Amino acid sequence: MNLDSTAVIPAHVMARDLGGETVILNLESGIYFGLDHSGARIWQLLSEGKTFAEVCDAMLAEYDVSREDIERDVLYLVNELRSQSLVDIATP
Amino acid sequence: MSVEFRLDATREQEPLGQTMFHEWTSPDGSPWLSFYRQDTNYLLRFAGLADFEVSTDGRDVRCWPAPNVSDETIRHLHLNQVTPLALSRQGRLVFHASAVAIDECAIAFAGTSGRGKSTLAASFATNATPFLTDDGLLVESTDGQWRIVPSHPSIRLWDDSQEALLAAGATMAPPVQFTTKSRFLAGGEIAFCDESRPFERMYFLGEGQSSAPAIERMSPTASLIELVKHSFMLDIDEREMLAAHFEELADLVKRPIFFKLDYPRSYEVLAEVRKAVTKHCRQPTEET
Repeated sequence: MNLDSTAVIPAHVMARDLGGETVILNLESGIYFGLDHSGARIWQLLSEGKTFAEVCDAMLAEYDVSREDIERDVLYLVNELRSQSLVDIATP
Repeated sequence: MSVEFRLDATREQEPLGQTMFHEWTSPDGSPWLSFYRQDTNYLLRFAGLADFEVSTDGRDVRCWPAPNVSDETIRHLHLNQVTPLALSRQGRLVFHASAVAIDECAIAFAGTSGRGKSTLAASFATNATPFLTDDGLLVESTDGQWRIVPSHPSIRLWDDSQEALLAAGATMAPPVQFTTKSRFLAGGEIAFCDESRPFERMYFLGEGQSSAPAIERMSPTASLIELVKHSFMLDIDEREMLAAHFEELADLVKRPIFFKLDYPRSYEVLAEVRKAVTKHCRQPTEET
């Protein structure tokens, strides 16, 4: 996995936007996962098929945060999502 | 509630030649309810008490009591445990929560076992604010409005809650064989609301860490995840039903009516809690 990777959302995953936050459900495991506003925005960008680098670019434009911090946060969240089988990773 | 019930003859609980897919345990870790899938139904086994067969569509329930189990025990298991699970198979929303009617609205209290949802409902009911249910809260959507439906007009309380809240001589239902909780029938000093009411608030009961009644708004995401924890769901492995349940909850939490309520677990504080909740639920949601 690197910054050129993208996340692929499997068919067994549902997500709903709730007032700017997001709840994700893994239909295979029955596990629910909640995202706050910034996590929800990252999820939205990931679900649009953007690379992790593009996600970081968008977040940098919208939030007052350093590139180093946002890259760490995006990769951390992606790893969390992958560990719950909420995304697969595609690396070119 | 549209669940047909049929009581069969007593039978021994023979070992089942299959593996359960889910289990609920008692607080001491012992098995309480084992879930099995069969060809056209589910078998729910309460160890030593009864077997219940629930049709896949949740519309029919058959029961085989184990020997020497009282009618009241079976009735209790049927109404408080099996019916909510059967209703979940009909796609209906049922929660581990109590509810009371304040003015013309229904106010719910959700919490895990021991958090005090029955005690709080009883505290309201013995102070002229009728209760709708002490558990197995059924929520229905009618013409775009969510409503809470009353259930069996009784409240189960531990001895200390009973002594603190009820005068001697309250009408008690016969005991059941798996808990020392007593069940009290509505009527007299225990007010009951027998009509559905608009669902206007749900309070998730905290751990009792607060030094005074404290109410805090919950985000839609946190509300949805709490509702999941407090849902009756017979088969969490069935994707279609799980997806439909998720959609319903996502719709429900769009309204800003979900809060965390914490207060010291002391009977002396209950009057203050009632006052705080009553005042809070009468405020418009945007001001809470």
